[in-house]
Amino acid sequence: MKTMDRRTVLRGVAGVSIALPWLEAMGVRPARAASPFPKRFIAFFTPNGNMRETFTPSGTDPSGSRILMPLAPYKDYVTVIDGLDNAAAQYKSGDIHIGDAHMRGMGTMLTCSELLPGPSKGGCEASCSGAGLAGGPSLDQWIVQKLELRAKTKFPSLELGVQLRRGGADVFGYTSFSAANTPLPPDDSPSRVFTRIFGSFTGGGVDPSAFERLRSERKSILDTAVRHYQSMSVKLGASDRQKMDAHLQGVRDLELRVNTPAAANSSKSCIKPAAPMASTDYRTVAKQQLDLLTMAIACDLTRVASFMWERAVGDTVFGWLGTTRGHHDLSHDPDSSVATVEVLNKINTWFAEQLAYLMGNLKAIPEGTGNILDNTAILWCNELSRGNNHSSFGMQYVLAGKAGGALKTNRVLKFDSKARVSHGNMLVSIMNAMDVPGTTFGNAGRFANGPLAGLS
Amino acid sequence: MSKNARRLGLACTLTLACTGLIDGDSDDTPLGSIPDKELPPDRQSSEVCKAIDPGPTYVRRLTRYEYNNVIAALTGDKSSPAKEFPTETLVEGWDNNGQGQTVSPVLLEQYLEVAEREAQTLVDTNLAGVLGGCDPATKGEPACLTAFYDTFGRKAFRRPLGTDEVALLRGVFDTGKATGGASGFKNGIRLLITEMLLAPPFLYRIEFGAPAKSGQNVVRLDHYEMASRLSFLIWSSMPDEALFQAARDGKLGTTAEVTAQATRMIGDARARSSTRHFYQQWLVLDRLDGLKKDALFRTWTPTIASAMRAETLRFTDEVTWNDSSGDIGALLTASYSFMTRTLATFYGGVTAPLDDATFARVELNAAQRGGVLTQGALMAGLAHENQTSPVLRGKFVREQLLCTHPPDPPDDVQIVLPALDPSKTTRQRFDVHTNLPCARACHTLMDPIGLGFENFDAVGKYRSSEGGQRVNAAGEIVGVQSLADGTFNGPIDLGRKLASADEVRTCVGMKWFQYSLGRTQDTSSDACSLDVVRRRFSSGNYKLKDLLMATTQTDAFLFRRVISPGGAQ
Repeated sequence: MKTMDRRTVLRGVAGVSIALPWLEAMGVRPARAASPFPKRFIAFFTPNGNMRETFTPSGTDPSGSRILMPLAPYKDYVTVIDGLDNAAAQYKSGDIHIGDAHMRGMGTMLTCSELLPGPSKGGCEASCSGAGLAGGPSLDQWIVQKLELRAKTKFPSLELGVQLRRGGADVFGYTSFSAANTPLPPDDSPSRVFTRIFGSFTGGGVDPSAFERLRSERKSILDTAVRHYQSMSVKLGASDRQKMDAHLQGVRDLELRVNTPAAANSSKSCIKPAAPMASTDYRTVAKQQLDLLTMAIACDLTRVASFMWERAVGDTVFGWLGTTRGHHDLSHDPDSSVATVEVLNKINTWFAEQLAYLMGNLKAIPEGTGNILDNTAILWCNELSRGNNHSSFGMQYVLAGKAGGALKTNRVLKFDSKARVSHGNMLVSIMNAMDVPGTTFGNAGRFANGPLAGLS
Repeated sequence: MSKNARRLGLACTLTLACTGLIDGDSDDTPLGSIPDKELPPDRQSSEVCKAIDPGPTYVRRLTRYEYNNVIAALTGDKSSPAKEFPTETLVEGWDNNGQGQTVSPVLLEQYLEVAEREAQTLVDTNLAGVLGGCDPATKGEPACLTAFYDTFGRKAFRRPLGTDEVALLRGVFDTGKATGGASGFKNGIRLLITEMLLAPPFLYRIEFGAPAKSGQNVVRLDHYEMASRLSFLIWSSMPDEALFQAARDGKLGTTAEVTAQATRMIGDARARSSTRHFYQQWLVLDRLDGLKKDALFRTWTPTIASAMRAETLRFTDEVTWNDSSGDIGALLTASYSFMTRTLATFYGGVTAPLDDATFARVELNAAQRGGVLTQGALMAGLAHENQTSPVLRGKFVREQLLCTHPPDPPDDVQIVLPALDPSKTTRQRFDVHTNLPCARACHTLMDPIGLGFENFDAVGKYRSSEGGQRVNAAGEIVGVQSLADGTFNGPIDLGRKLASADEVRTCVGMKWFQYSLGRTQDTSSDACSLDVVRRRFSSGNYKLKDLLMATTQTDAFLFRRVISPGGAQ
């Protein structure tokens, strides 16, 4: 453990220099001259369907559409994918769907596995059967598991969101699943996220011996807890046993997190951010969350994240875009409602601006001779292709970042929706780009049969 | 060695007096031959009830609500630390469904954070308390460690610790003692408290049942397990000293003993917290959190939304616990409510002097309002931002009061709210649903109910006209067999009809069953338990508070299946 006399001055994205005893207290090792650089994956979710006419560029410029224009400064990093089919969302058990269209779109979007049957009916007893949660791990978590990120970064992944909490949690409210039926709830509170990532959780005091002591105490507590859960598990029935085992695995991971050094590859842009100010303003919270995510990546505290702008069927009122109605409410209007279509265009353009902001953040962080965006893949995804018909045909996606050169960018890939090319193939390509081999992803390869042509 | 024997052994090492510490052995009768007279009367008179079948039992993790109550009871911290925890996954609207519970990294970090904080505070402010008054300086550390297990430990785990657990915890204490320097003992206790607040017997309600005799497949619960079942059912919290004492004395084995404790507990003010949490979920009051309305409604504010939520909870409290009839009818038709001045001003038409400090009882204009369905929490909650929603209102009645699910719209339907038209009423605009045959099939289940609420606008204010026309509040509820005539005029009339419908009574009992047992009913194995709830509810003329006692009389509550480790639940 280094002494605290050695104070390191790091320069941040914003060019602010601060003295940083904090990193050392967290047990940071000196950055190793590692190459290649780690790859990052971020799922960027917005709900309620796209506006294909104004989303998908007509030409070959991936920023050449009304909605995607904000991506113009970074178009070298962007691929637009249009016309895929979310086959997993169309799965039927017997003659009927499991869960309603938003539920299916959401639970399959990153898992490529049909929803589990379950008790939650979502009000659709006649037209569909009751659904549980997702039927398999989401791509982000699959990457965490296959790249063994639990042992490599302090947070194997982060799940973040903006003003999501109202109404409790269900399949509408999760993008990420570590396994079938095991959601990772997104955290929509910047102050809580800050405390979790940059606060005192890791024992960020200034006294290394105090940190060592805390570490050994926690190890004792958590080791004992694991044994306690084991002793209960063996006495219980199968379903309860699963529950105890999942809890004890969680405690093991927690122990690993507590004892993992804060960062191995943290860039010189890694600075402890200021605690976010409390706010009820959607845009303020959104920026705080994006900045926290940026810094968590800059400090190599995580390499995988999902970011939820609303829950599926989210009804956020984007008042600054000139509407008093909620997003989901608007998304049901017919295409003939010119005024509504205009508002939906504005909402999706605003989301594109946020993606551009995140890309700009990551591009501003140098890594080797390039920047972190060079080594990142961001997937902008939606649970539906269109809100007013709940369709899962002809889906649109944006893939941003180069994943260390594994992704071909600055292009528009259009698929004939009649060809029914599965969006699972796109997930396979992203998985491969993240250095996870395989020709399929999701439930038994049912909805994916190889990488997507033209992407890598 | 049986669990009870282990506990006895431990208890003897912990206390001087061992008499009366044996659990569960008063009930030696194999379940198949329990004499009828020992079973609840409602069960004896049921035709559905044959062999005892408690249905599946699942380990249940404390919900955020329960966690807060337990922490308050255990440590005195009333700050509701679980408010920062991730929201539970709701199953059919309930936050406490044992099968729906999963853990996430964030939740486990929060558990650790709260455990460390609570432990630190306890040893700094109430060390003597957690040691049961034992002073290590005079009694010695080993004696006080034992006293700690028997005081704080027994409360935290809601039962005496097993000898294996004491052995397991020893390492934690030793670590704390070693790292704590001069205050090693105190530090060891701090670490023990931290560990215990993360341990399965604290975070989960785990029930092994009384030891099974050969051939038994159903057992009664261990007395401590029954103490927790009662306390979480009735108080949403841990057992109190009287319950612990009853468990220690082995007095929670028979139906009569369980009933006696339940009677005592239902008479305690804490019983309201459980029913309040039920109503909050059953009536979907979370809709009010951050509920936004169109600028059209200038007086709508977040304060109004939370006041409406509070109004309904205050009202359901009163109906359940103080109202002279206290039944479903009162819930759906009572001509009083509770308001602050701000809320009353918002609604308009209230003349009683009010302030904003309390929700005071207000007698309603019985021609306009009555019962929970007419309250702002439901009327504003079940509406769009700029207009009412006959569909949402009708759907609520179907789902929450009749326990049926109207079908969702098919995937290829563009759901279009009829455009606002100042010259038309909502009824006229929604007429499209009855004119399109494809929509009519589904919407006849919902719209004709919802249209009966048209006297309440999208923010829950009473209105007698819309679009320059008088509001027509005629409605119809179709397909409810026990109602000879489903037509009604306005929500009070609807409430009266619903209150007398068998379907509603059964539905309320079923909702309560799901909430009180933390699981979805199984129509075959729970048939007897559901019938017992129905009978008890019916024989008390559908008094809502009787539901608490009704649950305690069911097989599902009194028994559990014998665990087959690794096997079916």
